[in-house]
Amino acid sequence: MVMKIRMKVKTLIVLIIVFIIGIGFIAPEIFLYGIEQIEEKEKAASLYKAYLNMPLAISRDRALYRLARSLVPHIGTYDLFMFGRGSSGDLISHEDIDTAIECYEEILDRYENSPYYVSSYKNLMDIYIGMADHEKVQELIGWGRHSEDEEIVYTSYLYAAFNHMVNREYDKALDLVEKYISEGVEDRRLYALKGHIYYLQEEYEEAARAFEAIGTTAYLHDDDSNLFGSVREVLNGYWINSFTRRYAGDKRIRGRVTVNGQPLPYAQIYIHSKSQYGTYSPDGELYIAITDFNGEFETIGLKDGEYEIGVGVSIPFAYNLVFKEKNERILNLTEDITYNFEFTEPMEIISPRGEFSLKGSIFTLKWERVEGADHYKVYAVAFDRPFDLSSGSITYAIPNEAGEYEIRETETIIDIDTVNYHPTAAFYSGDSRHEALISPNAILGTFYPGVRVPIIVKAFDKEGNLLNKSLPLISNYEDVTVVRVENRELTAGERLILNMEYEEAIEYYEALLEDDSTNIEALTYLSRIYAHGWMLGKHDLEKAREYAERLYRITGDDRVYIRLKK
Amino acid sequence: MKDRFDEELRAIMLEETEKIYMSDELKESILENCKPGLIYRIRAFLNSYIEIPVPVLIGVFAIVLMVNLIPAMDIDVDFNDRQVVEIGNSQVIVRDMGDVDGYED
Repeated sequence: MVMKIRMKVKTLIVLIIVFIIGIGFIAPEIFLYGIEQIEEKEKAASLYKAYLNMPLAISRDRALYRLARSLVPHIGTYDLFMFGRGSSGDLISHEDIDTAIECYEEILDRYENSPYYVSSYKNLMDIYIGMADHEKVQELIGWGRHSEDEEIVYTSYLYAAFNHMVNREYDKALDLVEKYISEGVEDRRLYALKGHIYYLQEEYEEAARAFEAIGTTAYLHDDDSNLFGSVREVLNGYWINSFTRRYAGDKRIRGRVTVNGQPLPYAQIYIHSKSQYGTYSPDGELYIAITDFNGEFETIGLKDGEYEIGVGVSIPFAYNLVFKEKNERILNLTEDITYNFEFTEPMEIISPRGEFSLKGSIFTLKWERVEGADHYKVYAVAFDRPFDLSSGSITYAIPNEAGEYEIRETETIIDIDTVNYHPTAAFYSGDSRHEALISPNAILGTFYPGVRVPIIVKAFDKEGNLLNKSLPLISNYEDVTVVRVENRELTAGERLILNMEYEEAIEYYEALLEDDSTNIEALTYLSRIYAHGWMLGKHDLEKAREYAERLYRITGDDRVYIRLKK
Repeated sequence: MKDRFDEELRAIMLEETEKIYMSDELKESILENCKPGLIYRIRAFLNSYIEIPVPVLIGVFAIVLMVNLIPAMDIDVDFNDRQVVEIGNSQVIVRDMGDVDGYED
């Protein structure tokens, strides 16, 4: 018998209303509040999208704003120096940018009275500055000027002043900034911009005074530390004093930043002293210029000296860019010079693409032709922890089937056995220098069973300058050609090497040779272990040669001597 | 002894009213004015009792819940932790390393 509930109709109606309000309105709001407490960006973004799909979501503007902010909290830069490089912010993708733009545009279109209206306008311009789309920024500035919202008008003029600064129209920029300061507008971005304008005009005392005012002034609209797109903020006067003491001089660097020959505006130019910094640090560089709408820049005056120059492009840009590195690692500044930065879209590996499983021992690699290329090189990447691709990695050129490193054509055959005869780049790991063990790839070779090896192709001109390569500055794994070697199982001895148990591996192989003096695997790996040394200072070339000669007498393959020659 | 007054009274009334007829218009008018009002009917409805089978109640509850939540679930939920690895001076975002096709040359 079916159980029934007996109740008055009015009781049922009250229950239905409570249920609809609870499920339709209160639960989504609690849900939204819950999402705002999540720190993990991707999870929060997914849940904001879930909230926005609810038919009764009443705080849609808030969710749109939070979603955009979680996807694009800040547009950092990917910084490229003559030696080091790296990013100073989240790896924001083009998809994230597109979604954030849609969110902000919807707020501007539909929620004029929203508390997120002005911030959406500002953030939208920041994104377009980050994307180097100065035309869109100008369009938004024009739109803002005709707004009935005073804060929108103010923001519009603030960004107009920034654009004047970018185009080195410093007087126009200062007029706008001073106008609002004299009207009593308290916004630290005004002082930050004022400081930047004076700094780029080399009026350092004025710049320092403006920067000092930042500390006592709040942001007008929000507590965001972003300053005009991806432009890094110079925060204090102390920094200026330190800069002028150490670097300010009268030598200037002029140049242009281009992508496929087209100008790249809003790119930041940095230097750091080579003697002070040997490696990349996002906080270690000095901001010395920004490119104008023509992609051109002129730095402030610098003292004579040796510098590393660098350029910062917004991170979403870096997904599809290759930096055409020059074959020089230091800038010797003794006079005014010109220095250009060129970026291009990456060349493509035509086949194989993505990760593929190699069942045999050879594969054919094809790539697109690069105009002006003299030769190409194929590079392999070895990881410190090869099976999950984590920890550090090293990249080195590998030969083709014929043992050539410089390849003239646009396709080549890679024989993994040939590659494994050649020495690899290696790294050492251990608690101290005296106990540092060599990485397994140096002994096993680049390709061994189970390993994943990303492959990169680079194109060079006759002078050895990089023209293009298959891997952009930031890439998704699925877009990289990766060889997964699955042609056989690892042997017991190879497992010892892979686990960096080298002394055990030596004992194991020597025992094998006692049973069978012609064991090829034992002779091969013992020769390599002694040629390179499993630990710093532990190599023994005599022993290595002895094993190699025994191997040669059995196989007749003179490739066994390659590692000894090198 | 049983009181017969009611029966007597009834008989007198029947005799006296035997020849009296009410017109159809009058009947309709009286019926029209006697209809219960809207408020009365609503109140009567609200105070009436209904019996709801428990499975039906659960079903309706689930449908209402789904109508609001199913669109919310239509998202690309990707909670996989992404890993950024350095490859040849580039940063590579690894989300998933799934199965791949074999390759033999």
